Amino acid sequence: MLSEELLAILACPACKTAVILKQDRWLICQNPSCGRKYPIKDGIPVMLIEEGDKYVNVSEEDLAALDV
Amino acid sequence: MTEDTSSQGRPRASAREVFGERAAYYVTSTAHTDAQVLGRLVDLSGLSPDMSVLDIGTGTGHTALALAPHAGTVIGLDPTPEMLAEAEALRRERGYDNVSWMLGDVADLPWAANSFHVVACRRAAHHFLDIERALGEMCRVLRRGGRLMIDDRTVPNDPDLDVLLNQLDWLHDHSHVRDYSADEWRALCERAGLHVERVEGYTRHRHLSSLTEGVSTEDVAEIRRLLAALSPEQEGQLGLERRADGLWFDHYYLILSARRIS
Repeated sequence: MLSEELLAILACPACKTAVILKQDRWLICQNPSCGRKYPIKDGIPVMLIEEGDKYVNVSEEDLAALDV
Repeated sequence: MTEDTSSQGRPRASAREVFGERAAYYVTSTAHTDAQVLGRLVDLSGLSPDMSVLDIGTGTGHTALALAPHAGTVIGLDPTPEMLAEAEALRRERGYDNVSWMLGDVADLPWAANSFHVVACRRAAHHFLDIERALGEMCRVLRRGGRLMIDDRTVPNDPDLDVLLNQLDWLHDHSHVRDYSADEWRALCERAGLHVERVEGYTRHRHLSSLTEGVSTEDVAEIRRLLAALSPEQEGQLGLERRADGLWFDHYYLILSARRIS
């Protein structure tokens, strides 16, 4: 699992804005004009821009229902 | 297979495709578990237990796990999920709890600037599609004064051998982009804002099978054709030997350490 220390330096690979952890399953870019969301799969954050692109238009509330 | 034909007319497969298929092989590959090289990287790293390390192109995690006992935290980054699954299995086997893995691309690193004391990149840079961008990103996430350590295949300062060795490496692995000479590495690092501390070249004498294993019949034939066409002088430069069990020759490598100055 991601430690506080690692989370503090993690950033969106596209815009380099800080990300926050949601439900231990998503890392969400805090830049409102970016909106990329990165899933954690099998305990490994998928910090690829093309992965973040997939969820730009998914609201944070709807992420929980997604099976990724 | 996705192909990129921009590289000197040769179709290029993505590293993710090639290494997804080969992940299990890389766990036991002799060249990639070379204890001497890993030991040298540990020595040059200057790590202490309060320091953070990023290992780029970590693959099955050999470098990250070698640095782990000397560092505070280690992150291994790779674009290939199959490689990281193998890395996680090795991590559990060795019992390090200060190492974690992330999927990501060196061209777009997912960290804030000034994040790491050490960035390592072993046997991966020859796959990077844009080496200047990759070095720019590695330099960005390094703290000021932080250290970059590269270990990679290289080529001597000889134009014909440069072309030949790069051709052989592309035939071995179609996601190969380029093995850079020591002079190229120095120039690339300096342009990225790094001060090169040390460049150490070394060779490994290996059986031809280290290039041909897992390679298509056509590509093996081309590798053999290129080696058969070497001049006696080139054979000497490569230390080429015809032994009872086949051809052996030298593979060129370098280790480089540099510090972020700007």
